[in-house]
Amino acid sequence: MILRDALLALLALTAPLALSCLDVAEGRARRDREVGKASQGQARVAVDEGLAAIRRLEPGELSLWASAPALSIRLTDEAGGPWRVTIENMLADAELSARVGDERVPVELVDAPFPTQRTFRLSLPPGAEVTLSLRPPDAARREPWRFAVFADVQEEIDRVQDIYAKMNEAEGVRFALISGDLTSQGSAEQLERFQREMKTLRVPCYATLGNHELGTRDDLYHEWFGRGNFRFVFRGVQFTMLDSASATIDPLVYGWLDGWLAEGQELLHVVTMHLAPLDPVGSRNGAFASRAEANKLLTMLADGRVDLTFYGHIHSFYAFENAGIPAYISGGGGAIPERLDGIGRHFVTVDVEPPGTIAQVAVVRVD
Amino acid sequence: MTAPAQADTGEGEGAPGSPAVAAPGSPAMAAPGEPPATAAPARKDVSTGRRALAAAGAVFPGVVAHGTGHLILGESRTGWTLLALEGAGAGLAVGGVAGAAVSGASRRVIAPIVLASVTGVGLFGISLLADLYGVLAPEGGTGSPPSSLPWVETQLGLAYVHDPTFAYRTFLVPGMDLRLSSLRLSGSGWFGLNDDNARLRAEAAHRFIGPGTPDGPSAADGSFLELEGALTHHRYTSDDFSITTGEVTLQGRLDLAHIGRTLRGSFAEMGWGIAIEGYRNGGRPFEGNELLIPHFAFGMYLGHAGYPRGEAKVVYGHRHDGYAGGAKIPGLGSGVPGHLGLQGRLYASPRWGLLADVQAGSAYVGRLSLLFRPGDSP
Repeated sequence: MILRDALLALLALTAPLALSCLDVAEGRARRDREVGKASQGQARVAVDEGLAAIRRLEPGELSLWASAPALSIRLTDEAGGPWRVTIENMLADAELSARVGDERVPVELVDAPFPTQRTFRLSLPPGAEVTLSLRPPDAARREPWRFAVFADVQEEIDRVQDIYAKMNEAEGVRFALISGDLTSQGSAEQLERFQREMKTLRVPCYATLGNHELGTRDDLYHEWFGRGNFRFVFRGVQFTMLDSASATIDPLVYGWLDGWLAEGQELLHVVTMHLAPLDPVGSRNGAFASRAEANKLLTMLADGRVDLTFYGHIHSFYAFENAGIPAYISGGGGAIPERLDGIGRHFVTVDVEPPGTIAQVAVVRVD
Repeated sequence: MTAPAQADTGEGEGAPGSPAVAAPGSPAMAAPGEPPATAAPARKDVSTGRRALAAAGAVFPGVVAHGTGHLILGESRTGWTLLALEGAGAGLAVGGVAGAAVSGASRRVIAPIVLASVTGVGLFGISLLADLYGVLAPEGGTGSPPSSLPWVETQLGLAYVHDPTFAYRTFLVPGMDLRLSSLRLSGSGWFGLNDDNARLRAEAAHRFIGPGTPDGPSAADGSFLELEGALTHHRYTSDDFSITTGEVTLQGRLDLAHIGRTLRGSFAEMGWGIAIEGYRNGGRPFEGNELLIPHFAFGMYLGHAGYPRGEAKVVYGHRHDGYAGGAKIPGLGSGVPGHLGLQGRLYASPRWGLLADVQAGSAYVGRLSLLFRPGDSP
């Protein structure tokens, strides 16, 4: 009787355990692998390493949202003919070239409605794979340069232009990184609105997602912005963006990260994600769900000789170290600010001095 | 006869359990001012239909208005008390969330906000489960609390941990509790069998009130209040880091017979604590952080006299370290919540028992241990 009651009681109480789910980020990691690939009718497109979201693919028409300054795109159309390729979120001075094998295919710039958007026209030979190459002129240059980082705009999208205006004024910024929480709920309308507001920026923003992008569904972000986990190299710096929106990194991504860390060993390496592995204010734990996982990741980053980490989620500015790596939390995009910290809306600028120095991380106040 | 001791120290929930063995009719079994629980006290005659209605009412609208089951059952005082507990819990939880929102989770005020919120959620959950227990439990409750605890209790168990981030899966888990009057010393270890991972934990606790060793003063029931200090060293050798934690927790248990006779045999636990952690990543210098470790539980004693007997409880632990870590939740909420767990102890004889424990957070953790109280223990 006691045994039966005990078993029944335990069974009845097991229901809450189902609330915890271990694979919360797996679907997004799997979706990462599909970003940048599409086919429509007789046309196929593949963006190397998934570094752009395919916003539109129709006969003769391709639209991309870039996640990196340089892209390599393979486009095939069995029918061939004229194509318009629109790339949003690109560096204003980047150029698009096209080749079939060793043979150059002429590309014509036909429209530049915004500083970070260009439409190109080219003619595709029938059945041939055309490699489109988007390259900024300074991709391999080894001179001092600057990028910006911000996060956590959320419901303050109506005021985001203040930030963009300051960012446009900041001298020498080549692009910005967004460490998540672009929107308050991640709905299609909000993602669309965020991209629309970005049109005033003179530089592109390469983003990963935050927990607020999961407020509606977790499969929309990829449609608009592309991968949550990716990396790219620009001017001697490797940038690795990780999806920690669910307070964890998916096991699939740890596999990718191993390779990315190995490839970035000889470069300056900047890693950005939304939730920090460890909150410097531990009692708040605006960080990974598991401190064991946090330390595993930080040990990997430190062993991989990562030079700098940036996080969002906490609506303030913190400078600290994790596993000996300089770390910054910059969540000053406008969402409910942390009170009593005297920070407010802000973004940071990072001055890079190749081949291997971060000269300065500076806070730029917006209010 | 004695009750189980504290040796569930594996994941550091504290919350020492202790079902036990009070002689029938002893004060330990009685709600204050009421006859002993084991005597199966007279209870208002309630028809089967009304009891079924009360059980349904405890689910709905009881999930919203805690105590509804008792109100339907005619146990108005208990029903209103549970409703008041729910109100207090909801107030604290909502107030905590509002405080976090207003302050932007400011570092200057977040600690009391987290403690208040967890306490609020605890009161909310405990009042809900207590209402269900009170309308479903048999006359006299499911069991009675212990009157004393053993001098020594040892455990040896196997644990399985499924954490997609780590390679370890199986563990050998030995542990021991030593008691001297109101003092408890506990030690436990988790040793990975398929991975180089080990967690060592030592606890010392002073019990201000509640059941102690048989040579101490007799406890009125299973309720207790104690201060626990613990030191934990967790080596993730294959992942090249370690976490060392020092912590202190004030924790207690209240037998819910104090609230109403229908709640005899059930108990609630609360604990508030803080931990300081040191991380060593590879050969790099230590880095520190802190962690709030409040917890709460609702449970029930199993068995009034003789064997088998024990206790079972559902536990929320706010800690984010250990094997379970904090919960991963789809959507917006990951990061802040801790983990849920179930723990049961069942003794087949004065010497031998079983401890079963499952937790769900960033990992699923299951443990089954054999408990042994040496012969010269009471």
